[in-house]
Amino acid sequence: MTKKENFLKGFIKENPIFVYLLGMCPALAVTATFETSLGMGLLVIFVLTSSNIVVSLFKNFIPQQVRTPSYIVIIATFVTVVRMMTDAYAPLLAEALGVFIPLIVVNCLILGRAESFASKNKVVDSAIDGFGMALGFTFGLISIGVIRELLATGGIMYGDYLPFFVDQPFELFTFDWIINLFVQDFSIRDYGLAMFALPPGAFIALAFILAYMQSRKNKKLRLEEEAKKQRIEELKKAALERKRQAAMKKAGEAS
Amino acid sequence: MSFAVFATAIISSMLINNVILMQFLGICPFLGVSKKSSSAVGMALAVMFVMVIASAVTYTLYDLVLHPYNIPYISTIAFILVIASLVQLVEIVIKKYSKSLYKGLGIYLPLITTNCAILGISEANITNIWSTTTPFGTGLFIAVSTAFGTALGFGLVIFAFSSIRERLDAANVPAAWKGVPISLVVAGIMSLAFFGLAGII
Amino acid sequence: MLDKMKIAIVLVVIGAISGLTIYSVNLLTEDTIAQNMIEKEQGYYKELFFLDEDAEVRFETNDFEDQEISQEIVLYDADDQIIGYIYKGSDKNNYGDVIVLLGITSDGKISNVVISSTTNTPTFVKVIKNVYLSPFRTQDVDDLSIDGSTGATYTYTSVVEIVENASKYFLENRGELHD
Repeated sequence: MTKKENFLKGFIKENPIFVYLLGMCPALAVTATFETSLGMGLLVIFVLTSSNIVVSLFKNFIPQQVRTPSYIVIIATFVTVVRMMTDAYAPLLAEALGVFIPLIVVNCLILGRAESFASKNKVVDSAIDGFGMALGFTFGLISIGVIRELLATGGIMYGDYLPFFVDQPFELFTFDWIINLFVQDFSIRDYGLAMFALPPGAFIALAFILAYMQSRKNKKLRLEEEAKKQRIEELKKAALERKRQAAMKKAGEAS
Repeated sequence: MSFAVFATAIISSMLINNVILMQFLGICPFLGVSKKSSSAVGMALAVMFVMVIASAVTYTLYDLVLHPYNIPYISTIAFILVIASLVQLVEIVIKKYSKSLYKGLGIYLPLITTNCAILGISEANITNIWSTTTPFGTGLFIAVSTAFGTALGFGLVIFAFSSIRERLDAANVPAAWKGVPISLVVAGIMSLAFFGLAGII
Repeated sequence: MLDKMKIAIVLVVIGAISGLTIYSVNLLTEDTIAQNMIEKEQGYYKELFFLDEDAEVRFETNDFEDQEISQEIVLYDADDQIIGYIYKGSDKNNYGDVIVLLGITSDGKISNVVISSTTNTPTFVKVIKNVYLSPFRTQDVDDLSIDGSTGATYTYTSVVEIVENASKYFLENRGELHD
């Protein structure tokens, strides 16, 4: 596996949320808006990359029998660091994510990467793997978050929770201007499906995404199957043709 | 410390603020071990066992050690270690003293360390219940009742869900929705139903 | 035996490193976190009386043990004139705690109501903050009219209770200012 493949595998092919169903708790709980999903993703990127690096650095020192507890301590250290940093520099994000910041410790994705990749590979590879996987996780969170926020409010806000680069919250995207071309004094906000900002909407939005992924997979499988069938058919035809020709030849020889 | 406090804590954490459907804790076992109702019941019992003990221990630890020595910021690392070793201890004790119980719960116990409901409830107990003015006994009592109610809620939902899933296997579901997607829709509808309970106390 | 010693030493080293890391990060962030808390609190005080963010204020705090209201804060402006009284109350509903701040001007009118901290469902709280808190503004404390139909949510019920308690306290103790 090249470094690039190692980095890119987390996005679609081995996406932690959509393919492995890892880290479902944050994927449902903090994705009510785009911004909280992004914030959670950033925290996971930091924790996963650094824990992978440290686990990989110390892989020869840690005795086999106490592997898991040591990994848990390493991960929990980074999570505590991240928790204090968010409290200090993005207090509103810390409030919005709440209990899900300490819960990064028990996110199966992080311990899973430490066990299955970082404990067996070199530091650079582990760092790339952690970063790529965490980016894939963030990508998953953000796609759920964008869908939910668009359905719930009709726009996407930035600046409420992550106070970086902006002074005031502003709208990254909204359907309003398109609609205002046709209708005056109309705000899509009044017609949002509030359910998608609430817990039931989280389940249903994720269900739709997973169903889409599954239908894509099914389609691919079906196409492959059809291609296979076609190949077999062709082979059969060719074999039949050969047989026919052989028979013709025989008949020719006989006559 | 009265029955009313106990009942309120149980009903609110079991039905109104359900751990799976409202707080999204413990989704992994919810989707993973709910294919058969017998395994769902086993998991629920194991969770109840560990959750009640873990809540009591972590609350005590926070109140008597972490807060007095002014190190509340290491709560995450302390709690996860306590929970992990507690699970091991429970496993050893059960194995030694009750073979039948071990047969029922044994295979679920190792899975519980990474069940975020346990750590989540321990942390939530500290943020919601613990305060400098609450006496230790009262706080501990509410924390344990909340944990018990939460575990009951977990058991209720995971059992109902596994029963639905057993029926769902026989249903004619479109190929794209087979498996996890349709289960998530079911969970969404259950969540809507539980949403209607908000406001009964 | 030697193996066990080795395991123990490794575990102690890992623990020590992680402890040191956490301790140093705590030293680094402790002040900022404390500062954030104070700023947040003061931000609420200013929001209660619609002051500018950089307005200079001074305040005195009275803590109560035996009242339904937990704190009274008297807010002065730069010239030591009383801007108003702030009452802080908390209520436990079964979604957790709600802490509400209520600002009453010296002539007995509610200036604003702010939910300062809550563990309740964020989306509900947003709706309540945006829609249901504004009717409290400019109401007279001895003549509260509360929209009962919106009381369906827990958070709102808690808010109403705290507002009523604070108004009662204000009338009893600062009532002479009112007329």
